[in-house]
Amino acid sequence: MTFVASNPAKTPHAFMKAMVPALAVAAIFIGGALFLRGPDLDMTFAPLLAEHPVVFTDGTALYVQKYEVTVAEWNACYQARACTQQLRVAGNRTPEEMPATGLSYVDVGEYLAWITATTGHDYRLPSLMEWEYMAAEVLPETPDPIFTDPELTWASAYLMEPQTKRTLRPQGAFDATSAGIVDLNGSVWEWTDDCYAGASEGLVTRNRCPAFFVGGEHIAAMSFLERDPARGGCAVGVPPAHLGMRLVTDTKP
Amino acid sequence: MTKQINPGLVQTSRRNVLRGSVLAGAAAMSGAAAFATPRRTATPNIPAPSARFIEAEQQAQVQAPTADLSGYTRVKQELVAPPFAPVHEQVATGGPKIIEIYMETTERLMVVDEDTGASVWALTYNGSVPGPLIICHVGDMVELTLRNPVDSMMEHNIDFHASTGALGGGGLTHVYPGEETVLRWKATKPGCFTYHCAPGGAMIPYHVTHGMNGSVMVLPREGLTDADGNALTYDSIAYIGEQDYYLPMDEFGDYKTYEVAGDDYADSLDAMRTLRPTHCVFNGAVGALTGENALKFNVGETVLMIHNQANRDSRPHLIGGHGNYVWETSFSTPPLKDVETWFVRGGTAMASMYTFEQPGVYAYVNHNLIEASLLGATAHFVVEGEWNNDLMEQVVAPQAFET
Repeated sequence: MTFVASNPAKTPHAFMKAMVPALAVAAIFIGGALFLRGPDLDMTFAPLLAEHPVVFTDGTALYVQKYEVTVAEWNACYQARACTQQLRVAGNRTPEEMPATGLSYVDVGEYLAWITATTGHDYRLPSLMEWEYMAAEVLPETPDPIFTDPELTWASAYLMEPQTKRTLRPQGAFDATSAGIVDLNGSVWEWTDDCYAGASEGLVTRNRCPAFFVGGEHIAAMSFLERDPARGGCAVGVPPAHLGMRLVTDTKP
Repeated sequence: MTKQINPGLVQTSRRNVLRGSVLAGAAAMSGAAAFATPRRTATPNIPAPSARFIEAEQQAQVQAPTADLSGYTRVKQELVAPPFAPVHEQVATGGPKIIEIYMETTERLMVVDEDTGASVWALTYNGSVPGPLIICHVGDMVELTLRNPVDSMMEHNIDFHASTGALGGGGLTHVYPGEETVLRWKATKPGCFTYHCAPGGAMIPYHVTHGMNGSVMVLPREGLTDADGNALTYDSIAYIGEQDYYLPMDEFGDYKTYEVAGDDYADSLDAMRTLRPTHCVFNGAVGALTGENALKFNVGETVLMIHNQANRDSRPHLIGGHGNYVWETSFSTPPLKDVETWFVRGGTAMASMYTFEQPGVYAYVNHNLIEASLLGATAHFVVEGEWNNDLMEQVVAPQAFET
């Protein structure tokens, strides 16, 4: 972990407040989907999956979105009034080529609920374990900790290795895995569904979880409300550059 | 120094447009007006020293007795890029010196924040923000050769707060692209001082907020001392220049880009007028002193942190440490002791001294934490050594409590 910014004392209330609209929207759309299920489902924004599923050591397969969710895909959710934020791209970029970023865990939940409802298929975020497994071949080796003294565990993960360029780039600018999953080692960190709760691990329920892990060049824990992890500040380490998402599903659509 | 550039003789129209305070306030203002967009309110017409005044000063210089340079030894100081300091003595040996230094006024496109792609046509001394640290002792003379490269777009000069006369040398050092000048000034006051470009009128803050500033440290000949006169020495220097940028944005909030230095002038003035920096960073860019660029020290090592802020106030704090000795103003005043957060008056450089007692990571921040976290004013020090449980110990690691 290199970056944890949360105030556990306050988060449950804030989290519930933030989640209520999202859950409401999810309920509406799941309800709507029940009516629509069948020929009326809209597959326009069904995620393009990587050529091959990721197969784990126990033989189970995970179908993974080839690229991160794009600005165009995200804005379809916004147009449908299921996502709160409207995103835009800078300068001469097109929404179809740019990953959707500036997304908190709460935002990402809105999109998940919407895409699941409109396509009638269950999509979810990967777990941290799944994310690390699918990304392992394109990630740099974990650098040795800079401190090994047990008193310095709080500082040992500080990264002094050169980082991948932090500039936001169009999809396909970074590496592809053998399964055909692209940009896992890019400048966008992807939300996972794994709660980070420090010493309260396993004790907090998901809807009171103060932070989730995000997958990227280094693994980080991120406050669920964070959309733009600024660099610097009190936290030790270099935080992720951009926050986005990638869908996975356990069954082939 | 008998030959001075006479700005009144320059004929080319572009130069006159760019010309600042030396020619006259009016010329500087016409420069601003030439770039201005119609909707922008006029730049206040602050009177600048008139050409006549400058001419009188030059005349007085010519008539003044020649300085007696006998007894001085000439030495060269190789300037280095921040956060490092040039080779120097803490306690002066031998007689006074004439320290020759060389600086180029380089205009270069710099990325301020990789995350957003924010960039600036930085106006620099020797290509870095801040400009290089210059170190001398009281009684020494600094002899600067200032060269403006041929491919520059703009006029530059330099105002040394450590110097005496002619607007800190600003009135005698205006150089246009392809020109150079030599200025010699005597260090009479001990302390850390800022220097910056000051071409005149609105061009002054424009150049300063585009990176054109740095520090001179004038040490007492006997070195640094505490209030009782005991010697204080340091093992290393961390030279930190805090830079506030006011980068123009388009209607969508994206940072604008420009073809060449100076193209952003009108937009920059609008952004500067808000007095709300878009970035406040150490050493030119977000992350310039963190991660792979973090500074490294050892437990027991004494570091002198020199902080330069040529434009606005700041309040550095070393998270996890202190300022054992802090000189906010000059080295003539005894240092403050055991300070938690110290003050940098806008338009100064100052120094703080600390000896590391614990290993780990320290954050050196502008303790307006909004500026530290959201605008970029953070540096990290990584310190090696043995942990001291007497100073701090985690007695109980975070755990769930009984309910």
